[in-house]
Amino acid sequence: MHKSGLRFGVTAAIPLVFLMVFLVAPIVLVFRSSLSDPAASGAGVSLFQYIRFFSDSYYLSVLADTVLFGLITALLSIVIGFPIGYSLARLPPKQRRWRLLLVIIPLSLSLVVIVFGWLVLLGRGGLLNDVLLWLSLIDRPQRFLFTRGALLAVLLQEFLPFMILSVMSVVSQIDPVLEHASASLRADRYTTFRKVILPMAAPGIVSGATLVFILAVSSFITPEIIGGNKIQMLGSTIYAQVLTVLDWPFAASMSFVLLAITLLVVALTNRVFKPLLSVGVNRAN
Amino acid sequence: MVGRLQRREFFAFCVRVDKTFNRKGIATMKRRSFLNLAGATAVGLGFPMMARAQQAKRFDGITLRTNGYGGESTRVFREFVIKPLREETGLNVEIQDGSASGAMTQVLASPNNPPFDFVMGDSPNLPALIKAGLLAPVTVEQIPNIAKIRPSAREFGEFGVPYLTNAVVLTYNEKHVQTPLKSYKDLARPDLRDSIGMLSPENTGGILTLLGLAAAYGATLDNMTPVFDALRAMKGNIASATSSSVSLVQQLEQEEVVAGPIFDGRVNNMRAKGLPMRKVIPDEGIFALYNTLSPLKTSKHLDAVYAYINRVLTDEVLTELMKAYRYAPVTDVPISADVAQEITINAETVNLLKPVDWTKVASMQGALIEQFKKALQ
Repeated sequence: MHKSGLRFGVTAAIPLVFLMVFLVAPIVLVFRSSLSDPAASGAGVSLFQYIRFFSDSYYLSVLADTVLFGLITALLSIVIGFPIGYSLARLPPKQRRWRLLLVIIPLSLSLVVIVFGWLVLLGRGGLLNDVLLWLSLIDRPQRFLFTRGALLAVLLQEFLPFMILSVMSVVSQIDPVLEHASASLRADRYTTFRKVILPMAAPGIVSGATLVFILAVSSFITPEIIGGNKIQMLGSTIYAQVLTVLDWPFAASMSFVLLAITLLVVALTNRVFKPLLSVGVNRAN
Repeated sequence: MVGRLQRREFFAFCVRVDKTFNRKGIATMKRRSFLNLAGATAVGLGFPMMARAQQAKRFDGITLRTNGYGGESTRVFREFVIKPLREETGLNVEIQDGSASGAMTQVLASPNNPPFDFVMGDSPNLPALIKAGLLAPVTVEQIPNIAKIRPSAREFGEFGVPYLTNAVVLTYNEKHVQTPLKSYKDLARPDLRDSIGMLSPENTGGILTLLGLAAAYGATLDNMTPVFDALRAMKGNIASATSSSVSLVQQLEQEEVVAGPIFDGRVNNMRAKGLPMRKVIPDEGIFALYNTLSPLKTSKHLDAVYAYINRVLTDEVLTELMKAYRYAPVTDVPISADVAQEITINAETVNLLKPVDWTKVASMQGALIEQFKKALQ
């Protein structure tokens, strides 16, 4: 017993040390940097960088835009991703394989390649304009790039697979017999969806939406290229502060604001959906 | 049958060799004389070869690391600098492509153990490195070809070795823009609504654009308000502002935007592809920066770095770099007629080149970026 306890301790210590060195320590260093006092050449402790951020309406609007884009992307990913994830989970494994591949392939592509692909697609001479012209829906090429709609579409395409996979993994564990039982009790499809499927799939939906939100708010290449600098998100602002302006304390403070907002949204989501999540867990058990 | 024939032929060959040697007296040579002759031959032939080999492999086993801009630039460096140097001296150089500012960040983040022996950067990148005391000074004694550089090009004195000049010019698509652009003020013309693409000040080209706008609207580095007021007023014309030159080129090529300020080399590349882009030197003058090579103090092989930079400053390499981008050189290297007509800064236009206080610009780059984004929001 004692030996196995020791073995467990050693086994757990390795990943713990790894996490401490490569995750916790850098976070602590970044946090320390965000508190550095410019008046004392970065030596002292000060809230200067945070005050600078929160006292400037520009940065507040960037933060608001970032959270808004994150939330809308997450919501749209639920609307589009849930039916796909559900249908994939209910398919026989042989048929599911190829469809799943289509969902996973975009994840294997570089984000830069995807974004530049979208530039070609949404450009004035791009495929979308060509199709709309051919269908006579527009009489001359329209601007789709550098708009909020374009940015939202690209963010959604980039992160939708995470929602689909999350929903699929949960739904595939829900026994189809439960849906048949609901139907045999004269529940229509909508009631079955509302009373059976949705509560039981809730953990997958919430974790998928959380993932999509986190990924969307931390984007920096997509808003930079698709937004054309007219739409600002916090990720690209941090990127510029680190790489171009070399104002690392300010970048660190913005990173922590983003981290705090993300944790807050995740905590709120868990709190709001707690009853639904506990129902889902209980029913799955 | 075949084996017997071969043995017979071999025997006949030996007899012929024996006769030949006897005629020349070699077969009758004494053992001591033979050894003396062999020794002298070895010394005569071997020593110069060994000496040559030692001289040629001066940097054998040494690998230098630097950053690069990628694309044509890296190709020219690999083909015309690294390859010949490796053959001549044994020096190996690895280029890590990426943005110059990204490389500078890596160096500044680990000043005691930077990932490079020397860095390739633009003028605006150097003040931060100089301030941090990371650059090794370079002199003509270390790099003889520095003597060929025009003195005005050595913006930072003993730090950084310039090799090319990148100028920001105005460009427009002849197919879509009927009235030629002449000045930075033309970017605000009503006929260019939602048609302008430009570089944001995260890119060094964006900073040069702001300086051009400053000249147009009577602003100075001490008071850039008129520039941002002008940007706010022309916001409806600016369809996009990107920090990537590649992205801006793509937008111009796809006619997503049809005019704007951009690096002259990029316009030359688009013209070479047959795109109807016109290049205009603005009335306000030429705002340019230098591409530089800067040895880092921490490099253990500074001699090799100097040899590399010296090679870059040869006429052969500068000519190839010019061919690739049509950027103006910093020396008086002879330029072929076809290349000369595409180069922005030449004997006739060099007077239009405006001096830039990069140290001051670098100190206010953060504020410029912030103001620029606020103006366009």
